[in-house]
Amino acid sequence: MSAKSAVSAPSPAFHVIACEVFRFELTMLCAQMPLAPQVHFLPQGLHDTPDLLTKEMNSAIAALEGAGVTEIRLCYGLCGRGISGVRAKKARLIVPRVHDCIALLMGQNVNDGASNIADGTADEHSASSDESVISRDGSVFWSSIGWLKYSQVPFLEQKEVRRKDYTERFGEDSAAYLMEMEDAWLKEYKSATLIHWQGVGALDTLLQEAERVAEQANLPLKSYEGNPQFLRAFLGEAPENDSRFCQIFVGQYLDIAADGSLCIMGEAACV
Amino acid sequence: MSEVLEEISAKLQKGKMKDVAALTQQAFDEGIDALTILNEGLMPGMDVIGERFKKNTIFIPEVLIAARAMAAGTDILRPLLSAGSGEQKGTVVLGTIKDDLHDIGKNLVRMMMESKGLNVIDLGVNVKPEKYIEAAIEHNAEIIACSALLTTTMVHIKDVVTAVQESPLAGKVKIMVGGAPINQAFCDSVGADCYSPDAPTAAVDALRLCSELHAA
Repeated sequence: MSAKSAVSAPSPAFHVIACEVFRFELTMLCAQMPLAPQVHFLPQGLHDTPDLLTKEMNSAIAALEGAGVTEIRLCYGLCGRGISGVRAKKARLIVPRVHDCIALLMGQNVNDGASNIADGTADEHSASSDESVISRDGSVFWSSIGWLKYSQVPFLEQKEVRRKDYTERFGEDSAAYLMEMEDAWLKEYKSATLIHWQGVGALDTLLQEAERVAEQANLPLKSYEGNPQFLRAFLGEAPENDSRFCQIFVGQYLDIAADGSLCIMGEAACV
Repeated sequence: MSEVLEEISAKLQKGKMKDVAALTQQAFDEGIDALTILNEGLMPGMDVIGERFKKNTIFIPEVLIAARAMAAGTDILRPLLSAGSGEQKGTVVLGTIKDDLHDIGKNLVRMMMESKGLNVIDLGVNVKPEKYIEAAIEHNAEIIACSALLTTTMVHIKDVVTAVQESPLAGKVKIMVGGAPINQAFCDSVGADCYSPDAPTAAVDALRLCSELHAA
């Protein structure tokens, strides 16, 4: 080993804690960086149990703080308010000012205040003259490579396992009822959209998988090419200077105000 | 307590819909009046389910099949309950808020509220503020209950509160809120009357609010 290669290349001082839904996109972006941060993944799906997300995130932050990390970037949105319970004791946190992963995957700010179900009724907030902001239709069932791999496809593939489990536990009649209830969860959506990035996964394979999921509720499927720029900025230099991100000091947290805006709450403490 | 009523409760807790229906009919045929079967057979079974769900010793599947069994029993009793024999515990207008399509939590709330004898008008999902108002007026509801599962949609709860304040219902109905991203602080900030952290608590809270309104 040469003297040069014996010296470890410096890595960025910050670490990233990310939802596993972003694994493929973050892996691609980090591979493009001369100095990529360490990324620690938490399981996808914690947004369904916000209290558990808070607990897991706080544990992960404490572990990094214990290792001397002073800046931690959370690749999450508010995620059901699981992030609002997050408290660092020493580190500075950087968090995207978004509700959930969809905006980060799409690569644009999403004006969720303008969301409206596709019934032709415009919300009073619906107009936006800023082309960097798009309106999210609440009737869309979203998909991405991470959503498919860690949530939607496993859910489909485990269907018979669940049916068998329900039958063993509750009998055939109750099992049939529970499976009917499970199938009903997609029934209110009007369409499905796959967000894909160039260079992340094979599009035709992803479309096939997304189609399998969409077929469960007879949803027409569209695809949307996501833009890596939002997540690239998250991993880049000084995102705290970008209004799309929040810099959260000890004593502060990200939460949603009564008017729906995402704000930094609390008072920064001296550490 | 009569053995058959205990068995109704036990079978309900196991989600045995057909058994609950058969035993409910049997209990009535044996001379137990419909209200007693409801209050001492079916409801205690759902109360146990509610407590276990709150303690996380059972989960959504168990609650769903128990609620289905409860409904099978109440379907038998409904025509047997003489007019006026049941208490008018109250009417709740329930819905998932505008732009939100999630309904599992709302449906659980409906089931638990109905198991307590409340009359629930379920408006479904994506409910605009004016629809809650219209339904509450039409059905003389005591409560409007809003469910939100997304941080992107919970802001619309404030619109419901404002709409009620500006309507003939102001001061006459209570507004309940719930859903995964909701908490007490949010409930307070939007001016709603009651935050319930889970479906069994929502049913108990609704009964309490109805009693308070009736006593006022």
